Amino acid sequence: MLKLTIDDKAVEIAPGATILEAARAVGIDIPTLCHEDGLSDVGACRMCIVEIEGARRPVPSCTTPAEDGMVVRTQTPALANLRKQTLELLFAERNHICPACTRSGHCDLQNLGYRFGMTHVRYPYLHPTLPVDQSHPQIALDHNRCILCTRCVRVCDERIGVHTLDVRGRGGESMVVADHGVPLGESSCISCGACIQVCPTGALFEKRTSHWQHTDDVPRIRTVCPSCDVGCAIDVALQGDAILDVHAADGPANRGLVCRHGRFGLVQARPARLMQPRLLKAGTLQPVDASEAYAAVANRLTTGLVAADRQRAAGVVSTRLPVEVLAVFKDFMTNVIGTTRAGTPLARHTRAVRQALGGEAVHGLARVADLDDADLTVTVGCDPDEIQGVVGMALRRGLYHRKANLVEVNAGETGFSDHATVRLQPRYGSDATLLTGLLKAMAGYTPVRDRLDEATRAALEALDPRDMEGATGCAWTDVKAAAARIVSAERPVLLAGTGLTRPGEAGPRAALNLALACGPDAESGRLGLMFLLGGAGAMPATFMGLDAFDPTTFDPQSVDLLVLLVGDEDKPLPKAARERIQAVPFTVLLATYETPLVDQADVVLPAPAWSERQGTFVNAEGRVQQAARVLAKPTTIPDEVETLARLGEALGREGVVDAMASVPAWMDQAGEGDLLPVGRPARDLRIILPDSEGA
Amino acid sequence: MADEKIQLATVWLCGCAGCHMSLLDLDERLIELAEVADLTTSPVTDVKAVPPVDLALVEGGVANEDNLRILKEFRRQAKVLVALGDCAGFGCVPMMRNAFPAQDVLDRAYALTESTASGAVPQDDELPRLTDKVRPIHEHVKVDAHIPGCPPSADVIWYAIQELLAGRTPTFEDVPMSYT
Repeated sequence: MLKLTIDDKAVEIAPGATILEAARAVGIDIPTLCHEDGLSDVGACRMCIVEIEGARRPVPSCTTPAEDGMVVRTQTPALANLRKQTLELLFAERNHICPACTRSGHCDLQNLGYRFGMTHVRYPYLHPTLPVDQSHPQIALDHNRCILCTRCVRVCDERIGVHTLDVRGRGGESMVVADHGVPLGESSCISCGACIQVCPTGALFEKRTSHWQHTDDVPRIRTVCPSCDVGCAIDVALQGDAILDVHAADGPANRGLVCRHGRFGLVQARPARLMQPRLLKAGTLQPVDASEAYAAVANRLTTGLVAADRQRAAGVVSTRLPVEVLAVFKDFMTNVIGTTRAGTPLARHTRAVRQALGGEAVHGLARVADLDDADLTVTVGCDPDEIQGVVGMALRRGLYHRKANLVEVNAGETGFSDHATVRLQPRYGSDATLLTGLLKAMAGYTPVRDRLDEATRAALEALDPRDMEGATGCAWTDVKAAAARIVSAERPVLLAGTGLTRPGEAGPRAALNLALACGPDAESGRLGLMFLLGGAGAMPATFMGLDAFDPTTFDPQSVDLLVLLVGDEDKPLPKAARERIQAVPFTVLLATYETPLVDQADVVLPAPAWSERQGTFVNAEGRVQQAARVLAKPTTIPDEVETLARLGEALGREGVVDAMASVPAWMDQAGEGDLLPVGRPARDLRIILPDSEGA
Repeated sequence: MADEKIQLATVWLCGCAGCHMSLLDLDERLIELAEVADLTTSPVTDVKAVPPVDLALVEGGVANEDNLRILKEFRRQAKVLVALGDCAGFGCVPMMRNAFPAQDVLDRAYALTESTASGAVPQDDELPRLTDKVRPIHEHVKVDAHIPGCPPSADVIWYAIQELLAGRTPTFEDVPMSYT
């Protein structure tokens, strides 16, 4: 440990720490503008200057390493004067007009002005004429307010990995630019909004709320983003009864990052809110009391074909809903309606994964954080930019900063295709065949070979590469090149998504086989495999077997009564599902907003928005997380659990529905933030070759 | 006694009068102020000529030639000249026009507004010409103290006046400073 003295305080700190880190470790507040925790330091703003005994001039503490025996002063009149002058230079350089700025009241630059008693600017203003880039749908970049701290540039490069933003020009001509000087809205920006969160001034801001009257102190509520199975921790700021913005929080999976779905998607403009139950009467949907709506469902269930055969009823629940709703829904469909046909919009994917994993829950799959240690990633039918944006960021960090390799197996093109070490584009429906071919190529290497049993080895040897080439359109030499990369990787991670084109469990199984062939990670013991499927409830829906009904493929002739819990999804179901639902005689819809599905329903029941409910999510890592309620729910709108309970009563169920009693037992085994310890460890699964096509 | 009172003048240049509203927000403290100071020329008294004064409070920045002439006259007549508010001290909202040439700003205001059918920029020798840029007053004359705020609150103004009457430059260490 290094021993130094800062402001007469004895400080011990590990070698490699900066003076700033040493000072903050003992609670000494050195002002900063360009420093941001988690990013590299560049010493751009000169606010953090300190005096070191024996040094000729002040040095920036953020870039100066602490040294043994150093005597440092951080708060002297001379330093205060220099810092004030630096602030005045920043104010003089561009056009900072606090009363007209969206950031006023919570601006780092303004706060330092107060702190150092800057009553005016002694330097003449330069009054540069600078543009405001409003080309991006959500983000505005006002160069008038930019102090060139490069926090945005560094977060965009170092943590997001896209490196859209950088600085062009030198000295006073320096400007933050997107790509090579194109408007932000036409750039490579992936709209994660991290730049807004780190901007110390109002240079980068969210357009949606830029005209709101901001209070200085907004409460932030920690919750979980429901959008996908990464399960990002988010801090939601409230202004009155509206959401001001969403910040990425330092959650175990997302570690301070969030993608466009969390930052902007959760708060984007929505269709009108459904406030009252409706019932189809005389050809039109009319507002009714809830009891009348429930009675209509009860009536339907006791008349017609479904009365005699309850299997003619089916239900779909959104994977953006928490475990409690999923569980009560499954219980409701099974025990009140009396049908086994309950699923999610992702049913065919979650069923395929569940079956590939042996039909039950497993633990010990890879974590998002493992991608930062991975020297090779294999993506299989997976484009993390689509849904799981934070995974895409980790992938890019690996590709660009650590020169990690990427093997992409995808029928289509993704934002990663051009950066893949080996890119394999199997013909539609042939990806499982390709992956098995890849396994065959890997089996040529000793460590993989030793992990295969005799029968699998023989089966792989019997495969003819020319058959694989014919079926997939991929050259055997490319497959062998990919295999060589994969087997030489020390810490490979495989990401399997919903872009697998071969229907059924063959795709996930072939992906699992590759991960098993690589063996578990030597250090963590985890299997280097993640399934990235969809909403924050996708993982529990998988393990709960909520896959006995697929809204995208069912036969409309087989369903008389359909229950849809779509929550606040904007585009709740794909077109294929909506076309089928149109042919269903009776549809009950629980939804938050006026989506096109409303016009297809016979009974409409209002549901809360994501921000108005609390509940449990389980992410793709198997991590249990509690989502908190952010906003109060309209008092007239019950949540889904309550609606299903009331509906159950109307249908003859007695007693109160206990949401937690319906939640699967394995949920009890893990507390908040824990990883589910259920089922077998994934690494103990066996390699079982999928059936070949046509078999 | 009247001749022991300090002579006080106030003026607004390119500002919105908000700082003078804040000054009036001193409320009953105005009586206390009147006991120690005579208010001479001011938008409140409508006295046009500027007599020699001990203390002058100037609201607003310099946006036209008339602002500049009045500012210089105040500087000549005042022993202590104070910038009252952010327009005088920082340029503030009127400074937003500096992104555009003065003529474009006039055209936009008089000729090109959506509600103007056949507008034209007024042309008269009596009318002051816009300066090229709006600037805080200390870019034109020596300023002895600044009272920041848009507008400064009555408490901030009261604190500053008391410091000035005591012969000190206000440092705003005891009252919270604000630019908004």
